[in-house]
Amino acid sequence: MNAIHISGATLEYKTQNGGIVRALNNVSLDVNEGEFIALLGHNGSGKSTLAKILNGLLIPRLGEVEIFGVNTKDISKIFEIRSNIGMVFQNPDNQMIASIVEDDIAFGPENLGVPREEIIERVNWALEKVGMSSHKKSTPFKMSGGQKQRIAIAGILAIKPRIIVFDESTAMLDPQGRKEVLQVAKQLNKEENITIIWITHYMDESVDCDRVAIMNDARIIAIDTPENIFKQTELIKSSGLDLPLPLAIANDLKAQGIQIDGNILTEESLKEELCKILK
Amino acid sequence: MQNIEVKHLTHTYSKKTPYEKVSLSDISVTINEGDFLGIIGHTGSGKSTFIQHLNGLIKTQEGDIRVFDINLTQKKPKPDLRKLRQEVGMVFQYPEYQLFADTVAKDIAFGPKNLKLSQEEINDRVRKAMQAVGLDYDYYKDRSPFDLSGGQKRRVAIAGVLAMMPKVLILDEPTAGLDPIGKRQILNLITNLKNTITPTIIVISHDINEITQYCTRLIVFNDSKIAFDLPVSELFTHSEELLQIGLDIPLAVKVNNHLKANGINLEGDIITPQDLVCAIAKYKNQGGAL
Amino acid sequence: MRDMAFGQYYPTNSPLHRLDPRAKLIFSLLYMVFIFFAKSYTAFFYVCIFLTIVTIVAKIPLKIVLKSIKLIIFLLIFTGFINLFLYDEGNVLASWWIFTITDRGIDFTIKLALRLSLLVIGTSMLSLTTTPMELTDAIESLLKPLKYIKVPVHDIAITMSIALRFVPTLMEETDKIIAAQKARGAAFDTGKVHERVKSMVPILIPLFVSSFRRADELADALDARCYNATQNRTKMKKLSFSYRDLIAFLILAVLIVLIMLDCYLTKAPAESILFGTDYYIFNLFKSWIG
Repeated sequence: MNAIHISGATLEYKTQNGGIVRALNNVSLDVNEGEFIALLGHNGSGKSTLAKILNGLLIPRLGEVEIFGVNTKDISKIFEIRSNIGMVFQNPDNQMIASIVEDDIAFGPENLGVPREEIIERVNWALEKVGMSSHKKSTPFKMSGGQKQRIAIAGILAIKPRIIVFDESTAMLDPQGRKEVLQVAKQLNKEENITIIWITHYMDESVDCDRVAIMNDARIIAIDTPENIFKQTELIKSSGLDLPLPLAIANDLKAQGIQIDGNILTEESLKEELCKILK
Repeated sequence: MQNIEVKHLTHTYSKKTPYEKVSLSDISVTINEGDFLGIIGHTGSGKSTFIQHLNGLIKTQEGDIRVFDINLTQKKPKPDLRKLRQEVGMVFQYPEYQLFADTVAKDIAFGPKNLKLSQEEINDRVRKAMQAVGLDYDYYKDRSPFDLSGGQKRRVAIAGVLAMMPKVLILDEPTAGLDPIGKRQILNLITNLKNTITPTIIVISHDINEITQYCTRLIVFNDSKIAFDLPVSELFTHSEELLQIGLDIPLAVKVNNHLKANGINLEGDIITPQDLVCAIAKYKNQGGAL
Repeated sequence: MRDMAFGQYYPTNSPLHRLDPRAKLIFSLLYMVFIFFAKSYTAFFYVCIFLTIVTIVAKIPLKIVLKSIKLIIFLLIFTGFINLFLYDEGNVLASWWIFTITDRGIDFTIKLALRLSLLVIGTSMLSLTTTPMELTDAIESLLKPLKYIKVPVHDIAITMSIALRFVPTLMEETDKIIAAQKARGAAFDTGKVHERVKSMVPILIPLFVSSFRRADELADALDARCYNATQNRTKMKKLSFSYRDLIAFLILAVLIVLIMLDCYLTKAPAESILFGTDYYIFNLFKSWIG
C-alpha cells in the first residue's frame, strides 16, 4: 500500500471575475512510505492545491486521492486521514492558536481526544524532536522565524502523522531558519520514517531528497531523482525554475569547454570535482 | 558627494524597562551618491533599525544623522520629515501588504498626493513609476492591486515608492517569498533603477549569492554594531570571520577557498559564479599551455 | 510593551500563582461582592490586612500592585470632589454657594475612595497572578454546564484564546503598515478631524486584508490539526482544586466573616456618624482618655 496515491486528480476554482482556473489537471502521483519528495514549481503552478487535496481541505472534482488506502472522499474517515497526514504552512504566525508553546502543541491531540497523560508525553516528545524542549513554557511571539516554524512542526508531530507536507514552510525564513527547518524535516524522515512532501522555491533544498517532482500549469510534468531531473535544463527553465547554483556553475564550465562530470548538485561535489580536474 | 552621514548612532528599544535591548551601538557610516550598498546580518542584528533611522521613522536617541541638507537630530527648527521622505524612499519587507487603494494608479498616487503635487504632476509620476517597474500604464492603471500576482503586487508597491522620486532608495529584502521568476524580475528591476532613476540604492538581503551579484559595497551588521564596511571585492578576504559570526559567504568564494587550500590558485577577485567560471577557464588554458 | 498576551501578568511562581484559576476567579467575584458590605473603617482595615497578606504571598512588589490605582486616579479625584461638596446630609462644617461640606460627606468620600481603590487592587491580584490563557481555561471550565443547553462553550474558549494570541501579531503588523505609509509621506497627526479619519484608510484596509488572509490560513491550519474531530475533546492541562485552594478559601472566608460581623452584629446608634466596630473603638478610646 502506498502512503499517497493520487490518480487523475482534476480541480478548478472560480476567480472573482467569474473566470475558471484549472488548478490541477489530471495529476497522478504515488509516494511510498518513508520517501522524501520535493515538489517544485513557480507560483500558481498548482503546488498548494496539490497539498490541500492530500488532507481533504479540498476534494478534487475528478480522480481519487488515497492516504494509506483511505479515500479523501470518504467524509466519515476525514479525521483518520488528517491524523495520518500533517501539514506545515508558510507563515508560522498563522498556524499557532495559543500564546504558550506547550498549549499550542497540545491542541492537535486534544482535538483527537487523546488521554491526558499521553498528550503530555507527546508534547515532550514533539518538542524534543524539533529541539525546542527548553521553550516549553515560553511564548512564541518573541522567537525567531525558524524557532516558530519548529514549534509549528511540533504541533503537527503531536498528532503523530505518518506523512508531513511542508507547504513552502521555509519561504519566509532567513537562511538560519531555513537550515533549521529543513534539518528537522530530514531528521524526522530518517529517524521516524515519516514520509515528507517538501514544497519549495529553493532549488538547493531539493538536491538530496529521494525524488523531485516538477509542477507546471496544473500538472506534474516530471518526477525523478534529483540527478535526472536537473539534467533536463530546458525543462527546468521552461517551468520557470532555476538550476541549483553548483550545477549552473558546472554547466557554465562545460560551455567553456571544460570537462566536468554531470552529476554536480551540491557545493561538496562541485569542490571535489574541481579539485580533481584542476590538479 | 555625500548623501547620508551617520555619526555615533546608538539606539535602545524599551529603554528603562526589563525588556531593554540595545539595537544599535555607536554606528558611523557615510553613504555617497552612486553607492550600490548591500547590508547583511542576522535577523535582529540592528540592520532594520538602522535603515528606519534614515528616513525618520525612528527618532534618533543618540548620535547625529544628516541626510542631504536635512539634519535629523536638530531640535529647532524641527527637521522637515516630509522632505526627507521625498529624498529617501523606503520599500519595506513584503511591501505588497501595504496596498490599499481600489486601483493600481490610485495606490501609486498616494505618495505624490501626500506631497500635495498638482494632479498633472501626480499623473505624470504614476505613469513614469509604472513604466519604471515594467507595468503597462493603460493595461494596469484601473485594475485592482488585489487581483494581481504576488510579483506584480510587489512591483506596484515599489512603484508607489518610486513615485516619490527619491534620490536614495532603500529596499528591505526585496525578493523575499518570491519564486525564481519573480526574484529575477525584481533583481533586474533594481539594477535598472540604479542605472536610470535612483543613483543611490541600499539593499538589505539574507541571500549572499544574490546581493553580491549587484552590490559594490557591503556593510555587515553583527550584534548591533558594524562588523565590516568594505567593497565587495575586499570583504571576502575576511571569510573566516564572516563564517564565525554565522553568516554565509558566496558559493564561488567557498569553492575558491577550497581550491586554494588544495594548492590551486586562481587569478583575480572571485565573488560571483561568473568570476569563478572565468578564472577556472583561464587557469585551465594556462595549464594547457604549460 | 507588546506582550499583551500576558496582560498584566507578573510571573513569580508563588503559591498564589499556582492556585486553580477557577478558584481565583470565584474568589475575586466573592471579594468584589463582599467589599460592598465593608462599611466601617475597621472593616476596611481588615481588607487592607488581607490584601497585604495576599501581596506578600504572591511575591509581587508593592509598586506594581499600587500601579493599578494609577489607572483610576482620575475617577477617584472626580467622584471625591462631587461627593465632598455635594453631599448635604449631616452636620454642615462649611458652606459656599451650592457647595457644602458636611461631616457625613467627608466620611462618605473617604470610604468611597477606599472601597474603589481596594476593589481595583484586589481584582488586579487576579490579573497579576493569572495568565489570560489560564483565565480562558477557567471560564471554559466554569461555563461547562451551559454545554447542555447547546452553548458552544469550547468554540468560545478557542476563539478567546486565538484572539489573545493574535493581539501582539496584529499590533506589530499595524506598526509596520503605519511605518510604510509614513514612508510614502502620510501624516496621521496633522489636519482636521475628518482629514485624520480619512488618513486612517491606508492603514485600516491593509490591516483588514491581512487579517482576512491570516484568518484563512488559520482556518486551514485548524482543520489540518483535526479541529472538531471528536465531541470528546480532552485537555492537557486539567484544572484541579487542591488543598492550596482550600486554604486560600479559608483565609478569604475569615475576611468575609469579619466584614459581615462588623456590618450586622456590631450596631451603632443611628445618630452617630460612626458605624459598626468603629463606634465601639471610638467609645473605648473616649473612656480611656476621659
